[in-house]
Amino acid sequence: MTQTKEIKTESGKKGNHDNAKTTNMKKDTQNAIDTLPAQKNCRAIIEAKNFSFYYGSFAAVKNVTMEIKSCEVTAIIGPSGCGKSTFLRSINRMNDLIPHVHAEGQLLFEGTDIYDKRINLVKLRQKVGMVFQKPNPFPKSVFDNVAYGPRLQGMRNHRKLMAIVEQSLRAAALWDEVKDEGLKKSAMALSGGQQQRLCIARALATRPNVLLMDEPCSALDPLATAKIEDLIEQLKKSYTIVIVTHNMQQAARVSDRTAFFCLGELIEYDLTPDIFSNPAVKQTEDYITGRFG
Amino acid sequence: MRTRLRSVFDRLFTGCTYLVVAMMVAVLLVILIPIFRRGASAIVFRETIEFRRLQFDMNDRGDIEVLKAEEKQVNQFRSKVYKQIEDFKQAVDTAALFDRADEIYRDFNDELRQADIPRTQYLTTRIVNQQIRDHLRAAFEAGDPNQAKESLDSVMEFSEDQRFVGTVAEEFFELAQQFRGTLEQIDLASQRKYLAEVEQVEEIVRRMFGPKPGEPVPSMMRFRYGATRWDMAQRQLRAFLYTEQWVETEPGQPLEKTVALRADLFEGTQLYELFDYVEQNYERFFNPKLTFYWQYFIDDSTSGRYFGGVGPEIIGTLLLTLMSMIVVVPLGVISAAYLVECAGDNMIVRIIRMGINTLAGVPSIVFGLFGMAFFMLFLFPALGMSSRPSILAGSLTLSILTLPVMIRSSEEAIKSVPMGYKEASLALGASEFRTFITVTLPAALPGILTGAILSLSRVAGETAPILFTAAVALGPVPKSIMEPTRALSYGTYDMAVGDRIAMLVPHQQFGMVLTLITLVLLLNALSIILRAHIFKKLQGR
Repeated sequence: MTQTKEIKTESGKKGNHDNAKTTNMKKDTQNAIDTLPAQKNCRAIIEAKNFSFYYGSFAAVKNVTMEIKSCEVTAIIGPSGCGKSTFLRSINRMNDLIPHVHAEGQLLFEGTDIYDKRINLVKLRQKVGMVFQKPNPFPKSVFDNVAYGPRLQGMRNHRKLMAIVEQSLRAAALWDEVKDEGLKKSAMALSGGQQQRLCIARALATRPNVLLMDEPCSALDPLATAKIEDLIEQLKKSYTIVIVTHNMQQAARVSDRTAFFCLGELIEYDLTPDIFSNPAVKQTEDYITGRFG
Repeated sequence: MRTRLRSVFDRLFTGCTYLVVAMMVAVLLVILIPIFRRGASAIVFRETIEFRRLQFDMNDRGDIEVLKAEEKQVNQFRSKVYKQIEDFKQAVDTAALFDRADEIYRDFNDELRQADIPRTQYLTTRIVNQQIRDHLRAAFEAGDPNQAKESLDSVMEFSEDQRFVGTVAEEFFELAQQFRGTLEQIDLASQRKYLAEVEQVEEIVRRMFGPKPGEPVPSMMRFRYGATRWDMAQRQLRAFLYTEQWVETEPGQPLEKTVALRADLFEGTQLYELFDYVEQNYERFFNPKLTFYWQYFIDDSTSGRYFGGVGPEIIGTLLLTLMSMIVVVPLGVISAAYLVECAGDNMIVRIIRMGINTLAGVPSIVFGLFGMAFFMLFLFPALGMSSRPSILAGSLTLSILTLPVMIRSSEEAIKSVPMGYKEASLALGASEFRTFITVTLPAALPGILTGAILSLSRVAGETAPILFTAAVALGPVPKSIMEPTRALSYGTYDMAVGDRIAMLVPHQQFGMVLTLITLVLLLNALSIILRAHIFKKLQGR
């Protein structure tokens, strides 16, 4: 199984160069933080239709149906083990690393089924970037970290790489901190918050449409968290952001829409103010007010 | 109370660990210090003039003019020793004197025949000649000094005879006079003993000074030079001055070994002073100088490793080690990558793992035999290559030997790379292969290098696998990897077991061991520095 996957990703890589040009993010190259109003191309970019995900016979995500809009920040909250991370990770198929998993139902990204066997995994993952719970920069220089994605797409020209790196770092609000000597320094020398922003920059460098964030602030101190939240505020103008968080205040602060998961099921999905001030389901209210979970 | 008990246990445990570490260090020092000290004596020692001669003959080192002047100076002292021994030997060796008398007799007869003298005179002189010879021989053969003196007296009666003046026969009387002198000094009965002893002395002198000037050059290298090192020269001096004897202290009891002055054996003879002379002028015979013989690491040795260095052995060991590293590191990493990244957990993989673990415990001699049977006798002939021992066969055998270590450590290193790196790379759209090459492998490199260091140390010191496949005791520096080579490990073994030369020149063997240890240490240090450098780079410090 691994073999076939590898062949698929290898063949996909060749076509990447052209694809990267045609992606609708191209117009953003001049200015990362797009000043265009986000609402302009507001549409359902990810759609789950009766989507279930199984680890062996255990259903971690059960029959979820929801739409994620491209103009919004969507937060997913819920108690531990509720399947929110699994759902997030199935959007760019990171769950494939785990043996004996399978999905049922439909999960569409820009209209194509993510779990279609013919899908180009490399292309999908370039379009759907991901930021992990623990900052995980590669043990390479800051520059090499950010340039990793573009290099995968076959970009070798140093000047172009430099442009992308700068633009991504600016977008991740890290440029001012590393611009002089810092680019050549190892990413491991950065602080935790800086590392997480570097990971965001690295994800942005492949010019994704969607940015998945899996509890991006849980390993950071409040100051670093505040910076990341500011960053999310900035990034939502250009990217669709899906964020999983345990921190209800954070969800309330950064997201436009919130989904509440419990035991693998989607309990409630609504605009954030509504969820937090006037939840429709009792379970949600219990969770938010701390009486449950 | 409880906390106090706990702190006692804590301290006890800490103390134990310190103790164990200290013991390990002590053991290591106990082993290493003598090796280093004695091994260093192969490189730093006091060289004698014999050593300078050897270096000039073998490697064309040093100034011949200076050397000759020095030799001349030294030979002044040495020639005195030679002369004294020669004189003594002549005096004592009655068999030689006996023959000499006969020679003179014949020479004189020849002279008579040539001489223009009347026939009757010729005949009588001949008879007298024969008489003198017989008297002289009787004197040499006599066991009793008085009897011998009588015979000598009868010889000396003719000394005034006009017929013998100015002829060869005069030597008869010289011999007689000399022998009379000898009779004054030594006991005729112990002549034979003296002869045996003086021969021993001559042998020791040969070991000290090398062959006598004017003697033909011995064919064996080790007999061409005397004591090349001051410590060896001193050992010979001890042998020269003291003698070991087995003495019966009590009848019926086992003999006891006693050490006695050799000079005492020659008490009352003219050789007695020689021992004092040698002891007092010993340094002048050799002219020892402290030297740093760094060429030990590049010089070839003489056959039998009696003199010279370990140059070819170092080259051979390096070649074998590096060649096997070239084979084993990629093979080990690829195998480990397969086991970690690709192989699942099925029966075949489990059997492979078990095979690797078993392989790690197989004795190295088995690998040696396998290498010979598989590479030399099966694979190489099948490929049309020679089935002689070769560096290639040896290093392949060594790499199989160390492959399990390499696989295991690489496996651990690859496993220990944080999942986050891999996830991050995959999330950016990299294939698994690309992720492995660009992210996992560099992050695992320090661990892989640790495995390489372990294998390297093992490979450099292994003897058994190259015993049949690559190593030779003697031979030229290999010109290609299809030739056999000398190696430090095998050389050490061979010196101790092969011709047991290690007993005669222990510094050579210790030097070889020291070289091996130093080489491994250097290679290790190099890899450790490399590893630290990579690690530092990874950590961004």
